[in-house]
Amino acid sequence: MKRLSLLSVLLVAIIFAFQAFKAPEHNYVVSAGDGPELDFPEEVMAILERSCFDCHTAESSSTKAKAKLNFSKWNKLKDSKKVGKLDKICKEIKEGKMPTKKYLSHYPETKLSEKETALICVWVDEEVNKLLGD
Amino acid sequence: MNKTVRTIILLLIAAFAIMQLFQPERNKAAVTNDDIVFQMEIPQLVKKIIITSCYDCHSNQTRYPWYASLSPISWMISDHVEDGKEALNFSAWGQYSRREQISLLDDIFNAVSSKGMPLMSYIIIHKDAGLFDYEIEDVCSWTEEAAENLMN
Repeated sequence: MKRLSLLSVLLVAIIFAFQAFKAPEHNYVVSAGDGPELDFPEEVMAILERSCFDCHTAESSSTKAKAKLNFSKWNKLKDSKKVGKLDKICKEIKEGKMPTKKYLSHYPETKLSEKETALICVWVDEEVNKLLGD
Repeated sequence: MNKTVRTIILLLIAAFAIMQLFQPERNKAAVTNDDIVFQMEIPQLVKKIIITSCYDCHSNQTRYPWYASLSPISWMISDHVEDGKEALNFSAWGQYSRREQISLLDDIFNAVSSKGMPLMSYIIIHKDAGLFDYEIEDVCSWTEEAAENLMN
């Protein structure tokens, strides 16, 4: 009897664990009215909407992703925070860490090409320099 | 104890002994002006936390307790230190660009507020390294203040 209840607890734990690792629904942010209002260049927005907004906006089910970066809250961030987030955006995509491998396995079309990565990083550099007043 | 078990035990002891001949380099260097404590004003409480809870992996001055001399523990520590320093090295703060410093302060904020840092495995062995909630708040406020100062 003891073994059975231990087994069932384990089973429930495993089911919960799988819930935590569910891939988010793939919702394209349809238009500017739907998504976060951001003052970014068109080419940048296109990439962010396709490859990032699923996890990194208010509607995302991933609390972990939102804690690290939430574009819906971007405009409320202090400039110092923006610098940090921008710096990390370029680092993460350059190192191929974002989108995550798990996410890419579900949605391979969201992978950033080298050109797109370079585009974002150039934009990041410009934005950061603006914010730093360099 | 039968012969097989005895042989296995002896082999394990021999393997362990041989392992001790292979030790990683120690992470110990003189403190320089590049250290964060010389690069900026840090509140006393926060400074103490950083040195106690972070420096072992995030500086050039790792403290080595006696068991740190034993392989494979010494190698596990060496790995942690290598990873830690790559992500953030307080000893080299003065060598980071302003952008990197601001970014790292945000990293510290995220890691500490989410309780991802210090590592649980580190806290288990170094109980004084765990952070109380008020200490997390202190560190996080400091990162925000320091980042703000760097913006100007």
